[in-house]
Amino acid sequence: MNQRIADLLDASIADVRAGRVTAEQLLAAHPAEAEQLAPLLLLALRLDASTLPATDPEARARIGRRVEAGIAAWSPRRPWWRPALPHLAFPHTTHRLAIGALAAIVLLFAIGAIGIAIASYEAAPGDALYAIKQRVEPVEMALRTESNVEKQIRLSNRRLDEVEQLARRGDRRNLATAVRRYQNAYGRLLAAQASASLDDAGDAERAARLQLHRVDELRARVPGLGDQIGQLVAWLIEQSPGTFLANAPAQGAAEQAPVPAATAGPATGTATADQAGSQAGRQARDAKQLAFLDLQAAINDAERIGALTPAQAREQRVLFQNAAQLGIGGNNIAVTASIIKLAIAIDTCAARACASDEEIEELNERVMRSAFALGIPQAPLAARALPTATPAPTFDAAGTATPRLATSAAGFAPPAAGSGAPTPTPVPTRSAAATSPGGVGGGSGAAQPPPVATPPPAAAAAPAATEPMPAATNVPATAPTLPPRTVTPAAMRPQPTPAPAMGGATMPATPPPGSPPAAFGAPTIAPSATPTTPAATPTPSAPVPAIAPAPSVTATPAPTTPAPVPLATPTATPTTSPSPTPSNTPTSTPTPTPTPTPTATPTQTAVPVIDGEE
Amino acid sequence: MQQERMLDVTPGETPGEASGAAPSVPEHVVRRAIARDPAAFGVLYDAHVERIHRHVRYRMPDPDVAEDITSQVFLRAWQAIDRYKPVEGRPILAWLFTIANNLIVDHHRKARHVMTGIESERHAARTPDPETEAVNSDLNDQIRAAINRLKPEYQLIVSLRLIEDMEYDEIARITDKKPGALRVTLFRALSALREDLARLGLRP
Repeated sequence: MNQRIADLLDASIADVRAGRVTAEQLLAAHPAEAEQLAPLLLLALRLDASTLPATDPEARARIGRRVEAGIAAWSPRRPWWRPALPHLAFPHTTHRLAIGALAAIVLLFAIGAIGIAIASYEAAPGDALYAIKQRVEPVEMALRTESNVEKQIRLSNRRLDEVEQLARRGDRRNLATAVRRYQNAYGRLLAAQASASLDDAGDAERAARLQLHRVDELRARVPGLGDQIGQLVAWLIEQSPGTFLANAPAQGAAEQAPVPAATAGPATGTATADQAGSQAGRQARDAKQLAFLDLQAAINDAERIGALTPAQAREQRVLFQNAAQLGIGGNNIAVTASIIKLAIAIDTCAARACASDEEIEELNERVMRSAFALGIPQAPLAARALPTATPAPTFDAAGTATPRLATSAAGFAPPAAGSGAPTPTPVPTRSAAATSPGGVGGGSGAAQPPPVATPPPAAAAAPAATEPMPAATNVPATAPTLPPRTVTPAAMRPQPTPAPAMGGATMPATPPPGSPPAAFGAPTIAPSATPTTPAATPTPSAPVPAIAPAPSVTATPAPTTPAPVPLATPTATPTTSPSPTPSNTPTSTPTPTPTPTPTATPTQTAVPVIDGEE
Repeated sequence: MQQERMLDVTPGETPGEASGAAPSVPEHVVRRAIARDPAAFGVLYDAHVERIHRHVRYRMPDPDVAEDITSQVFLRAWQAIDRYKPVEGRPILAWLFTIANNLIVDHHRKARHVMTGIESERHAARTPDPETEAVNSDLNDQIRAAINRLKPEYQLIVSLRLIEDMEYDEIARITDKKPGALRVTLFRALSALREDLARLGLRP
């Protein structure tokens, strides 16, 4: 009701004001409401601007002054979120929507970018996202507050992840890339480790060891790519300081003799360089680690020939592994006991004729050598008729079909020759060269097992090949396969092998005793390295290299100087010359020492080296 | 200085006083004023100060308070001008009326707070005193006084609709009420005003 009258009143006011009707006409038109409407309409019509006099100028001036004063005093107190220039603000709703939409888009992109970055985490070389991973990673690393070693561990683990991933996929082509990247990362890890704190260095070492195991496991899992992965294993072993190798998967790598050969070559350079830089303390440590490695190898062999049951072998392996990790040496009763146990097991086995004499001999020799390196008193072992320490032919079981990793890396890896086979397997006695001062027998030799960098003078083998020796012929056949890369292994892991104690021949650095050990040439000879012929006169001159493609250790004759390079140690580098006949003499190759310094003049007492034992 | 600038801009633009029509301020001037150009704001001030002041006077009988509130309106406008949205159909005058209305309401609220204790007394004061009112022979003064006695809500609608001759759409935006409701409010305001005047024996 009110609404109707109110509307009518309002319309009436508007109409009358506009002059469309008069008030009287309007009221006449609405007789029913006229009585109620009339007074209000008349009142409303009286009310207009004229009801009030205009603002007087004075009042207006006062207001104006106050406003101006207020404006002058006013300073924009701008909230932080409001732009300084008002027109930059987006006051309109539409603009707000635009801002919101923009923000949403930016957010989506950000989320997408983060998502891609995360997704790229799993990428491997060859994947579309790998490029992104490569760009994100440096940023990530820059943001991490880790030490350099930790970062390198992380990175190398990732590279290894990629290797594993590609290996599982069987992507051979990209695998090569991944392996290369991993090798680079591993190299950086080693570099970081070298200058790291003790803690970090330990971490790096553990990481490197774990990685080595991972690679070795991987090799077993992807037989199809065994060669590529196997090469990587060999490379890792070559690259790593001896301490890293305490747990090296010696066994695992065994199968791939040929592989290491290939890889070994290129790596040599660095390895030797490393070696040269190593210090005495490290050498000693390395020697211990190598001794444990030797022991592991011995256990493997012992198990193979049945001297140890698998359970026993495992037990010993674990013990030695732990000892190696803890840095325990021969002063530990458990270690000593274990070694004796091993020696006795071998003896027992020998009594049963469980293996060829050569094999037994080699085993014994290895155990002895290890014990010696670990500083274990010889007394307990002495009872056993062990020949004086023979120059260590080291791992490569000549006869054994399975060349062990270590050997292979060394380049020795002899082709699987039947142990008994007449084929003379070149047994490089790399060891002798290095350090070994007179081994057990040789009084001269210091006990220091870790051979200095000096590569073993394995020259001998070479000559053998060339030699007219009947037996020798075989050698060459095998030899060629192995490139001369030889040196590296020695450098890497110096063998503590004492110089062959030729009849007590002095170990001291002998210039290359040219005399080829009979072993090689003589089919009969076991690979065991018994220094037979000490080619006394080492004619360093005879450049062996030419001759031998032999797998012989002799490093590339690079250091042409025939002079055996005795590093600090007077150790002679007797090269093992396989030639059965001493006649080879010319062959005696000067052992090329990795160290460019041929300093060692042959003048030093030459110790004929020998290998093959008769 | 600023006054001079203001004055520079103003000449000839003062609104016709009694006319209800809002003097139109060019859009570009409004935009400059929004960018806080004092000269442009001076133009706005000159164009609208009369009507704002009149509106305030209708609702604030005390001339000093009316002047104070009027100047406050423009100061507030200056401070908040970047928040003014020149929407289609909403002249800046309406925005100024909104500010004025808010200030007046605030003023009443404060006054009520201050006066709580003497509310009845105040009410009594607002009832017309025949003798005093009679002194004001001028009917217009009587009417204005009667309007001042109305409720603020009624004052507002009477002022904006009848005095300022604004459209209901405009008023609706300022008061946040619907046009239909505003018409009813106007009807009631007029009824109340008539009764008040009738008590004084006045019949417009």
